[in-house]
Formats: sequence, structure tokens, C-alpha cells
Amino acid sequence: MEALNSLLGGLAIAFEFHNLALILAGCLLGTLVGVLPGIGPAGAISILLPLSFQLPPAGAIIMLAGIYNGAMYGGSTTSILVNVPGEAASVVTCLDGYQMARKGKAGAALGIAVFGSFIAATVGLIGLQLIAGPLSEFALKFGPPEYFAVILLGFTFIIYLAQRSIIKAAIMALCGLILGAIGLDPITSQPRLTFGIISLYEGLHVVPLAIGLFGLAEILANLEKTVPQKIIKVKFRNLFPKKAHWLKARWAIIRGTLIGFFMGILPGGGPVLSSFISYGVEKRLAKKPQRFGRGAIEGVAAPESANNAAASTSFIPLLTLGIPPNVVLAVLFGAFLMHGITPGPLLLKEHPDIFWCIIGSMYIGNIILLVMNLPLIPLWVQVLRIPERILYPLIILLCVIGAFSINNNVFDIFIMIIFGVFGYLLRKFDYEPAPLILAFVLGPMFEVNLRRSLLMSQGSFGIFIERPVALMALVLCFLVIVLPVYHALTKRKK
Amino acid sequence: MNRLDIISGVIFLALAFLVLMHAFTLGLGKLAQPQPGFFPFWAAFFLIIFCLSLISENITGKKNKSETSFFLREIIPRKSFLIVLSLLVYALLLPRLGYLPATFFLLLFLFMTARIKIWGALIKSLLAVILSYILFQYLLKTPLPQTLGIL
Repeated sequence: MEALNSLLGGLAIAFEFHNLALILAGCLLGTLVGVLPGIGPAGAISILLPLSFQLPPAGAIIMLAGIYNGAMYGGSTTSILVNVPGEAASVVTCLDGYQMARKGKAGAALGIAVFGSFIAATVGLIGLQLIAGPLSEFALKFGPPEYFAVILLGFTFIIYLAQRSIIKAAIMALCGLILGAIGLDPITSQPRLTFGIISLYEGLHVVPLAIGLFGLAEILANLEKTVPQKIIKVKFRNLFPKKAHWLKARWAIIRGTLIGFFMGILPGGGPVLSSFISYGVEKRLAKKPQRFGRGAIEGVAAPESANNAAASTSFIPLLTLGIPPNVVLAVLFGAFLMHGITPGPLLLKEHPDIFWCIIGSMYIGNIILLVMNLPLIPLWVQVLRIPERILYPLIILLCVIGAFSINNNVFDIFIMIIFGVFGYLLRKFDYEPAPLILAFVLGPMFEVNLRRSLLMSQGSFGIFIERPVALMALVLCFLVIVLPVYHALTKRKK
Repeated sequence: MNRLDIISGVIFLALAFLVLMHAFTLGLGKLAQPQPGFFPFWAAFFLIIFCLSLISENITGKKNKSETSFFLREIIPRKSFLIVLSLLVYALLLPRLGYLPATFFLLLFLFMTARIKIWGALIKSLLAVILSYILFQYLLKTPLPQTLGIL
């Protein structure tokens, strides 16, 4: 009941005219980002961060959250109509979405994607609303050993859930930890890894890093690709799924929602992975798996539901523990800090208005996206016709301004360029940059909690075993590492 | 065997050694009282282990036939190289020339590398630079570097 009252308070703030305008702007920008191939939500939030500087903290965060949720909705449009995913979480939607479109069922595919997204995101938000309060309360009892162990568990998941090589993901995460250590030592204030460069004393900022790795690097990589632009036409009256479509897709939506719900909370999980897993599950459970890849509506409903549920629940670890579970929320974490708010267990106590306003705004945003998405599809199709040769220079301009405006310092532009080239090379060498950014953001917290724990215990690692939460997290870490090795060994023996 | 993996492993290994040496100079301290070098040291130490396992995995593994070329000129195409170079020049010129002229030249260059004809590129660059200036300088109050202390 208390949560409901708080939510109503949050909704009242979110319904104020300027906040409503910001939610709408965020949803529109997010959908645009999702529609346009080449730049994902992490890069977009970093680039568009300067737009939020003059806004009050709550307004800034609800706009940025709107961008994230909008991108999740918008990504499916290009996947279905052009066979080009607007962002990574919609890659798998291409497989059946485009095939449906080719068979003249583009409307049904787009419709089920939007309605499935709405249902899943709403369920995710209800979960967020119900879990956030008790989890924040519980996390208030956490000390440095618990935080250290929970973050370590996060790292283990991030590396274990890597989509390519686990060794390469570990290398990326360790690079992120080292980059996060640049600047003044958090306990003794001694300069570290600055090599005499004064601009590095405050450490690297997550925004130029993210703009470089996910903005500039994406553009450089996309310059080499030639994107086929054969857009399938769709009429507005065909956008509503029929009863038969609903009957076929209902279990896929439910299962996708559940998978996304849990994968969103998991560090390293998030929308991308949940969309792939839910697609795999649907294919495995299907009576005729050969239909998948040839236009099965379940192949659209499941991943789209999963990525939207995950987008909502990924706010749970960020808002309650202060731990971003995926790249986009790592950038959002930086945005929170820039606006003077520290996400974590104290957020609900110190800024309940902001906390509930964010949740309220996400409910409103979800409805806006449902109402706006289908009628605006013809507009998004027109946006897709903008030639890349005009679009890319403009995105590069936004990258430059985004990096510069963080500290009004040209040094950040250099950092953005360096990490743009680095990110581009990482793609060439088949490394994922996501573990790097997550470790970079979590690294300073990880170090401080490790060192404080060791100071508390006079150098004994026993402190991590004496505390039940820390012990449980470490046991989970152990299982995550050992179980796959055990499975591989037993498989080899057989 | 994937030569790209071996090359990247060696590069990260060199970086890890650099950090390791630096961590020593900062001081590692004791477990009961870790010093600033403690955390970078262990991060670099584990980085070395993972780099070595990546390298050894690729040296002992089979040759990967689909491997892409490892020559730098093929990894970074000319267009991408030019864009990066133009951005570096822009970052150097921005504090000296100010936002308006420096950004105009950057956009002009970018549009021209995208094979847009000179007049089109001139108009698009001019429009983009003026609109972005109004948006960021006046509407969003982002202090952009001034030209001749005026604009």
C-alpha cells in the first residue's frame, strides 16, 4: 500500500507539464535512436547527455530513461521492415520479423512487437516497484565486504555471460578496472597512472569514454558497411495483430517477459542477452522449430518482450544497490552522479521524490510509446531514408560536443577520439567493449570496498566468509566459475 | 591459431607490464594496509595471466583460415583514418579558432569525405554549425569556445 501511495506521488510529479514534455522528448529521441542503425542507446545517452545539463536532476534522469526505453521499442521497426537491427537487442528480431514482412505480415509483426513490449515493460515496472523498496532496505545493512562480494559476483557474471570469448571478456574487464584506477587514489589521494598529466588527476569520465567506444567507434565501423535500404511498405490499418496472432504469440510473450525480468537484474545480462535466450527457448519449445527463421510470430514476440522486460528490471540493481548491470545503465549511473545523485540504497531514503518520479515516468513513457509507436511508423520509415553521408557527420558533431561539454575541456575530446579508435580496433580484434565500461564504472567502488574490508579485518580475508551475504555471493561466484568447467569435463569423459 | 588474437594479447600484455611496474613505484603496502599500487598491481597481474592464456590458446590451436589480415592499413581503412585525423586536428584548433570556424571546417571536411558536392557541403556545414551553436550555446547554456572573444 505504501509503495502504491509513493508511486501515486511519483506519478503526480511525472504528470507535471515540463516532466511530461521531457518524457515525450526522451521517448521520441530513444525511438529515433532505436530506429537508426549504427548508434545504440549507450552511445546515444552519452551523446545526448549535454541536453540534460540545464534540467533538474529528476527531469534529466526521466528524459534519459525515456531514451533507453524508447530505443528498446524502436529497435524492432528497422529489424522488421529493413532487416537491419536498429540496436543490438533487436538483432534476433530480424530473423523472423523480416520474413513475416516479406510475406505481407509486417503489420502483425510490428503490432505484436509493440504490444508485447508494452506488456513486458509493464510487468518489469511492477516488479521494479515491488522489489526496489525491500531490496533498498536490505542493502542498507551492507558494509564494504558485502559490496565487494556483490560487485565481484557482478564481474563474474559479466565475464561468464560474454557473447564471445570469456578470456577476452576478462581482459576487457581488467582493462576497465585499470582505467578506473586512473586519477587520485580514493583513500590516500596520491596520483596514480596519470603520468604527469594534470587533466587525468580527476580520473577519466565515463561519458567521453562511452561516446568514444559506442558512438565514434560505431560510426567508424559502419563506414565500412553498405546497408541495404529496401524498406517494406506497411499500411496503418494492418498494424493491429489479429486474434490468431495473439493466440500464437501469448506464451512467447509470457516466457519472454519472465526471461527478460530475471536477465535484466543479472549483471552482464540485460536486454541483448535476454532477447537471444528467449528466442532460443521458443525455438526449443516449439512443436515445429523449422518455422523459426521463416516468419514465426513467436520469434518476434519473445525477444521483443524479453528486451523490454529486461530494460525495466535492469533499474533494480542500479536504483537499490548502486550497481549498474549493463552498459546503458553504467552510462546512466554517470549521469546520476553528474546531477549530484548517488544511486544506491540511500536513494529511496534521501530522494524518494526522484526515485518514485523515475518509476512513475517509466509507466507514463511506456504508455506514450505504445500510443505513439504504431502511428509514427511511417515517420520512422522516412527517417530511415536519410542518407548516412549526411547523418554520420552530424552524429560526429554531437559526439564532439557531448565529450567537450562534460568539463568544457578539449582534453575530453582527445579522450573520446582515443577511445573511439580503441573501440573500433576492439571490434576488429573481436573484443566486446561492454565489460570494459562496466568494470570502469564499478572499479573504483570495487577497490574502495576491498581496501576498506582489508583495513577492517587487519588484512584477513576471513571477513568475507564471516558475513552471510558476502559468503553467499562468493559461493555463487565459485559456482558460476566451477559448474561450466565441471560440465565440460564430464561431457568430454562421456 | 588467430594472429589477431596473438597480436592483441601481446599488446595488452605490454600494457599490463607497464601498469605493474607503475604499481610497484606507487607502493603495494601490506594486506592490512593496502597502498595506492595495491589494486592496479593485482588488476595488472590478472591481466597478464589472461593475456598469456589467450596467446597460448592461439599458439597451440589450429590455424583459423577465415582470419582477417592483421596489417594495420587493412584494419583501418583510409576513410576512417581521415576522419580520426580530422578530429585530432579539430581538437587542436578548437581552443585557438573557437567553435564556429573550427566546427565549420570539420563538418565541411566530413561532408566532403562523404562525397557530397562542394556547394551542398558548404550549405550543410554552415546550417549545422549555426543551428548547433544556437542550440548548445544559447538554449542549453553550454559554454563553447569563442571566436575572437566575441562569438
